[in-house]
Amino acid sequence: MRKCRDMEDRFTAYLDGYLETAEREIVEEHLSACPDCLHKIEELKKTRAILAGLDEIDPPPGLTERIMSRIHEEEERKPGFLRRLFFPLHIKVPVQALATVFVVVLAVYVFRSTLHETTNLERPSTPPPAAETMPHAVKKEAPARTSPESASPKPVVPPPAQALKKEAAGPTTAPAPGVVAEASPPVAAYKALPQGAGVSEKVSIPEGHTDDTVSFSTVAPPAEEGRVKMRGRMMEEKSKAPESVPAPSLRAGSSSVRSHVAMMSKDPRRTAILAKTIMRDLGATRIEESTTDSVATVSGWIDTTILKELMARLNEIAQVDEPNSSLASGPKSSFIEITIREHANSDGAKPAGR
Amino acid sequence: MDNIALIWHSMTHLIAGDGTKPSARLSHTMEGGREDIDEDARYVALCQQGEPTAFEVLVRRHQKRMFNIAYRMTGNYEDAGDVVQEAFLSAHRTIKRFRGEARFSTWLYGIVANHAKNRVRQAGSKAYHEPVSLDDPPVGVEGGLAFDPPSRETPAPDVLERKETQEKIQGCINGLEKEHREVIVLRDIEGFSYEEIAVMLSIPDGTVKSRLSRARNALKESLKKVLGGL
Repeated sequence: MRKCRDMEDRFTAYLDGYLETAEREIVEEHLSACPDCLHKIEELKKTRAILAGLDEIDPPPGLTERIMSRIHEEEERKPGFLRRLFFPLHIKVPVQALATVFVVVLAVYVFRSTLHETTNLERPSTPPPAAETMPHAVKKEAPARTSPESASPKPVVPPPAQALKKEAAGPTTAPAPGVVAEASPPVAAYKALPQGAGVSEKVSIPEGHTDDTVSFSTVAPPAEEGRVKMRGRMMEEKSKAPESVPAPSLRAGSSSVRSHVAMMSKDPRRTAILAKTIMRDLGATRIEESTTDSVATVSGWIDTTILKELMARLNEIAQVDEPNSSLASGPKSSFIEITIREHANSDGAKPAGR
Repeated sequence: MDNIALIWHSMTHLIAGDGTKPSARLSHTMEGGREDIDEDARYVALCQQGEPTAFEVLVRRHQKRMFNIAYRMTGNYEDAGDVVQEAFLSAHRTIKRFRGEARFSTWLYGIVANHAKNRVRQAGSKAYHEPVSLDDPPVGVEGGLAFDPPSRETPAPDVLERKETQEKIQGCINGLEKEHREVIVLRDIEGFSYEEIAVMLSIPDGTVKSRLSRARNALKESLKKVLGGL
């Protein structure tokens, strides 16, 4: 039986004449002795004969013309954009796939590095932990200027949360009467100090307020538009009045409620010095001052309960724009910012000084 | 000079007639086969040099055998025409890369066999595994039968009977797996050698033999059922 199966495997080659002489003789010997296998090989011969006897089929007439017509069409048609782009597939598809992978990897890399920069930019919106201690860390230095009247920056430590550097614009408020005409305020550009930023130099206040430690920047960009570079990234912002910058709370647990006092003065810088003195008298802490062309800003932390007294005393030194002012209430300690704008008209100016 | 003579020869071929060499089966094993091969090689060389009429000569020489391979493998007259067209287009696109490692005919019939196999695969198994319907025979010239009856007059009963038998046999071929179908067609109908089939289908000689053995046994059983014995 096994011998028959072995023989059957050779029948195809036997019928087609692909067996060596010796093997062919073995098959023939078996066939002469095995009627079953002989019958099978006869059937296979008939099968072959049936297939060989099939008629040839005539192709449809005009097949050659149709083929040649399509070939001519193809020759005339220039390879299309897609064909040029993708063919030959075995070369171009892998190259294109590699290019896609490269672009994706590059995009991810760029995105991740940009994300890092963006995170750095957004950080100032949250209170920096070092802000509270910064004013005390700044050391005062000897006066750096020979002429206090010359256009030079007023030393200032901005509100700690005011992290973005900004340049002050020109006068933005209308002239108010009653301001005593004095020398123009010095032209300077100030910037808030992000912690760790080392572009500022520190000087003391020339007027002798040695208890306030301040710092200011000597960098003076164009007054119309500020160009701020921060941690390697350039960003632009329209210059605006200092009071428009919000000052979020400094410490966790302290109040976020803030007061804002708008004032008009012929000499904002001088008024700012006076306002600072008043604030210090009333027990304010972390008093800071910044001065630009026509706007001076004094800020600090003060008890809410004595805000009214502060307002009264401020009214003595210059005109308080009450409609544009707002006072904090509730929490004991609150942030206050006093903005003193320049006033071209001396009418209505209140007598300065105490 | 030799090329000019050959181009003239191809032009006269095209003008005088269909340029078709009788597509006798097993022609490559018959007397004159060597001459055919040499002639193919000459036209192939002309094609590769950009001679526009040379490919048409090759089409005319080989289209009938191409069509028969395609028809026996697909079992469908119209599909066979499409397959032959696609195969020639494919050959025309790549003929410049043909280096003559195999005979041109082997290369060409390998292309048509692969196109036919793809067509069978695309069309799905159902339509092709069903025997050819006697009510819907292959349509040929001018709506006539594809099997090209000897005349347009009513066929004699024996002719009808022969046609019917042939359709049954084709139905049995259609019932084979496509790998078995192609070796049966190429070997037992078209008469190619094992070596040629191996080149055409890109499979080893041993695989040709084993597939052929299984295909013949399967077809033998199928024919016995359909024809009521061999």
